[in-house]
Amino acid sequence: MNGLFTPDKKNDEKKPQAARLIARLLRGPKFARFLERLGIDPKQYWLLTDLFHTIGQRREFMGQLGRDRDTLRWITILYGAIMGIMSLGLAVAQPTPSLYLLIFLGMTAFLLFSIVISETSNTLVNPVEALMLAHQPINGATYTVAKLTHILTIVLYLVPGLNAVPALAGLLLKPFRWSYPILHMVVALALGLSIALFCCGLFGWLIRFVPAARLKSAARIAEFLPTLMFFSFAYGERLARAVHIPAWLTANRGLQISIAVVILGFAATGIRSLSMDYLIRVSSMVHAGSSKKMRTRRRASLIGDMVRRCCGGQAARAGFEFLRRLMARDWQFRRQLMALAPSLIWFAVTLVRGWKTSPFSGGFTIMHLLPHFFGFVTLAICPALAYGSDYQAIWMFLLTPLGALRKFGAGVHAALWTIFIGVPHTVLFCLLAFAWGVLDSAVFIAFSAAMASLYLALEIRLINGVPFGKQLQSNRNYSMLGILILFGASAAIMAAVQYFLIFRSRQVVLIAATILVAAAWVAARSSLESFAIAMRHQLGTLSAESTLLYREIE
Amino acid sequence: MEKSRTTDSPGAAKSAEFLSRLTPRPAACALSLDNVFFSYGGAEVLHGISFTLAKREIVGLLGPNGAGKSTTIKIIAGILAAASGAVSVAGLELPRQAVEVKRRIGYVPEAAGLYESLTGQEFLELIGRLHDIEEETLQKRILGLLETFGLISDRSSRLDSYSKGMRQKILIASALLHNPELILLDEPLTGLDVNSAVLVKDLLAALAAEGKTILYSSHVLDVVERVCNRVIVIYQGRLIADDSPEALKESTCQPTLEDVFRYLTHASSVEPGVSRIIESLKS
Repeated sequence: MNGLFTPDKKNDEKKPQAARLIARLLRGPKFARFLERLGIDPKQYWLLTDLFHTIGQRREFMGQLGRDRDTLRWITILYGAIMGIMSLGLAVAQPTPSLYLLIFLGMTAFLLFSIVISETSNTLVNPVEALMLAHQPINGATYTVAKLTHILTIVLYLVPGLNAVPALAGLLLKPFRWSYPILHMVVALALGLSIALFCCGLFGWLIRFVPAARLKSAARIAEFLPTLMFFSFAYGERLARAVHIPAWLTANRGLQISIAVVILGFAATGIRSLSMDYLIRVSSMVHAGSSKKMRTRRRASLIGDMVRRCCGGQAARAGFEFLRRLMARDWQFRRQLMALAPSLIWFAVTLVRGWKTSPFSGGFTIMHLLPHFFGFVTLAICPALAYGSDYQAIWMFLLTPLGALRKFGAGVHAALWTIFIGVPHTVLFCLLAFAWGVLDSAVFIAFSAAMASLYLALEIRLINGVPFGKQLQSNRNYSMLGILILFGASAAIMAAVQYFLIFRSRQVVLIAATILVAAAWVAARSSLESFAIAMRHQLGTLSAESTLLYREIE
Repeated sequence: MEKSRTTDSPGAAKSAEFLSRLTPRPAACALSLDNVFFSYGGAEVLHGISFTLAKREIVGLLGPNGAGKSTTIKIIAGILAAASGAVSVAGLELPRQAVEVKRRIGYVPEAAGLYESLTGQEFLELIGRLHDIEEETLQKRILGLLETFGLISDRSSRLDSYSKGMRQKILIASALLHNPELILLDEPLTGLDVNSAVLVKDLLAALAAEGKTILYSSHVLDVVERVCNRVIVIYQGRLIADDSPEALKESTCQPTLEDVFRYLTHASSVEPGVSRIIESLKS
């Protein structure tokens, strides 16, 4: 069977012979019979696979990692290099082969689980493009398998990429076993496939049993599972001891196999339920929650009015209200926030343990890191703000007077400051005043808010266009790696400066806070200018694209 | 639906036989909805809608915004599943036999997304191949449809460069490509110029003459009056009228279908609303 679109045929000729042979086998009659046995229409399956590949190549749908080979390759190389270096270091330490294997399987599982569950959620629970095909005669099995093929691509890229060097480094372990790399790769691949199967099965169950209106919230909670897995790694042993798991339960091989079979059965049944009426549920899923009544205050908001007075009029207020409402309602944005969950939980746990010790006590406390933690949160949020579920509504900004965009940006900044700096610091002030006294609490909060404001003022530059105005891209997080490293380094230096120089006297803290406020004000002015330019640039590109670009593609 | 009657005399038996001959048999029934309910989340949209369409009928589906017209059409198209009630197309049950039903229907959605990066030709090829139309026939049909709709010179352009009218023509072409038995049209004339609109109206009449059944939802009532031989009115999720335009005008003593519609949907005078808008713009 030929590909659907001509460019793919041209690309096929460029592929190596082995790849062409595999493609021919997969599109041949034997594999077609296999698909038919699973209830999948082979002709439609390849049509849809080619369609998704083509629209991915033409940058129409960019949110699926498995269809963005360049990003996938880049991620594989990056994580593969990190795990390679770790494996060489670990091999020198000579752990037992089983422990060595277990460490890398654990790392692969965590990484793969985080990526695959997020991709499965985005693919199955937010199937905006499926609406275009919902009235076509395609059965659920064919459609979902075609959609989920890219998850398999992720597994087939990431698992060998992450484990190639660790598997070879396993040859350095004692006792030497020439078969170790093969065993390592086979087990890792089986684990990867099981994780993919589990994620698809889990969403199959969710789609079957959770009402459409609650499905997106359920999917967000499901995306939290890797975080739970991370914490179970960290605290698993302590937890097992606490709940007194009997030894015979962990040692019984038969029982372990039975549990594995039950998990596989759970996944298989979940996938089976996806194949039933998925395309019928698509419309309800996409519009899920749209009938939900939102509480809209008729009374003018006090903060909104203040923003209008201080930040440049109604355009600023529009930016403030737009951001605070969409941050609470946009599904893609809220999904992206899930990535913050592990660090939020970790910090909250650490904070609960050490919050009573004042930074003025002379020692290093967790509170020294608090302003940087706020900086980290806004660092994660600002770049994510450019992407949203209803990115097509950006057309309305094309009609906005260009001068209003600067004020709109000021409103966005005001909303971010209020939600992520103003409110939490006010709450913290009240709490800390009990433990440290009002003076220490006020001085510390002034410093922390000033520091966090400076971070936010700089990070506004990372909002690359109109908020919620772009389609989510699979490579968005990975380009942030350099900025995260830079942030980590500067936060560490600043924390050291705080400890050794600033928090030695309250007067110095107040002077530092004043300097930081001035710096934040200057930085915010410049960042808002560049934010407005970024919005104007995006809108300019958008208006040019619709008339000039893509007029003829032949 | 005709209720079953008991007979105890030869005369009554004859009249019952006569009545049963008049009642449409399931095979002649192109579409049937029986007591259909539907809700989005907690908001109930359809409250027990029931009607049938016989073959070759062109039926207009009318109703104010939010009445449930598009939802009804989506349920018939197999895109949504009714919460309760029975829906069947050509004797096939929905949603159980949705794939089979979808092979038999052509659907022009009200506000449809398209794969913007595909060209017009590629989009139609995709739809035709999903319907398993033989390649030679498919290319002939695509050529014919694109020529008829005046899109032949734009067939290699991406859909994101198409105007609203051109996109609507592509949607209509994609709905007709597989020669469906039942055609569902949700505001099909949106964005079309006068010539194209006339073409579509004539096409509908010709399709009905060819034996197709058409369910046509629109707010353009004079077109509905001219094209359809029967009109169904839905108001707040309930079916409130089902008859020919002439009979509806007669029974409500209204001169036009627009007046019938306003009468049935209890529309109030628009003048106070217009005055309010003008006043608020001046303030």
